[in-house]
Amino acid sequence: MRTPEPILHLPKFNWRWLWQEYLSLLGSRRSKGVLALFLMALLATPFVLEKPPAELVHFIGQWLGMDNARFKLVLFAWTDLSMNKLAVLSGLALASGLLVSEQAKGLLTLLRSKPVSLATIFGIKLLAAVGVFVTWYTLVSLLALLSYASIIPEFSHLAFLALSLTHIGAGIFSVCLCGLMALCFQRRLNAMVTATFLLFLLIGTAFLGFYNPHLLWLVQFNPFYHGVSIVTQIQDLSIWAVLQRILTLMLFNGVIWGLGLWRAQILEKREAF
Amino acid sequence: MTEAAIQLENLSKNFGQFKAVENVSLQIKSGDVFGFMGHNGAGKTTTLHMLLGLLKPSSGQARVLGLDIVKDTLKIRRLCGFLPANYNLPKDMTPHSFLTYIAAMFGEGGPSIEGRIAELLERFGLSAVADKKLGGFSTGMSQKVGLAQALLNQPRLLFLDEPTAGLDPLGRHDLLKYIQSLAQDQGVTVLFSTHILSDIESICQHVAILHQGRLLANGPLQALKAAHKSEKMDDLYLTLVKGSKDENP
Repeated sequence: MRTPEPILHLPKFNWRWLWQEYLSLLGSRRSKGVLALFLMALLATPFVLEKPPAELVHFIGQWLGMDNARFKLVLFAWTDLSMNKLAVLSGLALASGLLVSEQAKGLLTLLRSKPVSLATIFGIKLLAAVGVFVTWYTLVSLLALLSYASIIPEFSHLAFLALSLTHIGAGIFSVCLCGLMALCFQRRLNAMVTATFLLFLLIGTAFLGFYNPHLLWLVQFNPFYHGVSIVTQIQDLSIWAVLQRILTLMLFNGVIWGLGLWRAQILEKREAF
Repeated sequence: MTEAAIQLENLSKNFGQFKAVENVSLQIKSGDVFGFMGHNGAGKTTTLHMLLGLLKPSSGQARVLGLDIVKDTLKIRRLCGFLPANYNLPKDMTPHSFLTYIAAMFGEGGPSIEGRIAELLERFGLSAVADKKLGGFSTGMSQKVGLAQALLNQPRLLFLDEPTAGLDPLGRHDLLKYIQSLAQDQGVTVLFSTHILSDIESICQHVAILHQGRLLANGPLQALKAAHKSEKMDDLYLTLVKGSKDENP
């Protein structure tokens, strides 16, 4: 009797190749562009928040709780106005052309002639893109952590750290989704447009559960909600609350990464590349 | 008797209704520089891609270095080198970083592979530009980097798809000489696919001529010339292709 083929072959892991891919992407123009955007956000956010309108502080207080509403506004602005948008842009820049741009350059055939499957190439390239995103996100978050305390009153290092630790997972989701879209459409422009639409839909509804508690169940399926929801708990932060969100986001990202590998295997079988 | 490096038996590939390769059977001896000839669209690249497992044959079978091209794809790729036609190297990388990257794809790194990279850079006259970005490289220079990546794993079999296209006469002469020395000095089998007939004439002992996916002729070059009363490669090729058109108008 023939053994049924497994649905998903996990690629053989090659740390050496991942490191080289990461270094190569980190030094690319795309990566430098992403870093420039992150630094711009770091510099611009305090100016944007210098004199926030009272009604905005009031709304944020109503959504996220009145305690320490000014600081919650800072966290809201940092995640929603800056980092969420940067997550989308980073995803588009780093992952929306995965395999597709290599194919357009004629480089994919050369890479595929090495002893690796298409799914492995995708898996490694996506992990490297995530690695570059995490590098720049961490760097800028650390700079913000060190510099914002002196500029922003009521700044809490612990709350900012907790938020960054959870929100980075939502950012990784953005990169993974862009990679998956590249494989689904096999055209960079289509992948970019669809990924942008989906990501902004998720970002736009991330706060839905705060101002409409009846829809709290719906936002449980939104990684960006889990990326920002720690803001409501900054008064009584617990390691469990942070860990719970990190694990949830890891699950989201694992699913998207797995779908990408699965799609790559299908495309390899169909000889689509 | 020398073992065949490549064996094809009625190998075919269809893309929908289009027959890209049709019942091709041939054998390539180890250590040979084998010319795979035909004009654009003849099915040369499709055959090469099938031998590397990049495409699956529609029917027929083939073995590369004794390995099955469908079941042992990754093993074949580990033992072979491939220089594709029409590729662009990553502009942000340097020859050194690109070769290090390719070595990492094989899971190789460290001092031994650094030595091999240095040796290849030296061999192709790239040492002085080893840390310059590939974006500014000429076609000839890029082709040297391309050939270096194909040789990085010290392959027993080398697939070259139109390697001399876009090279100046001097670059072409050097490359052909090097390919010949690979077979003579290191025993590497070379499958040299091209539509430039003079290249085949200058370095290949055995040839196969492919036309519209079908094998028109296969054998020692001199014997084929004699059998078709052709003094030059061009005459041989034209006689065979015209003959094929008369048979299948």
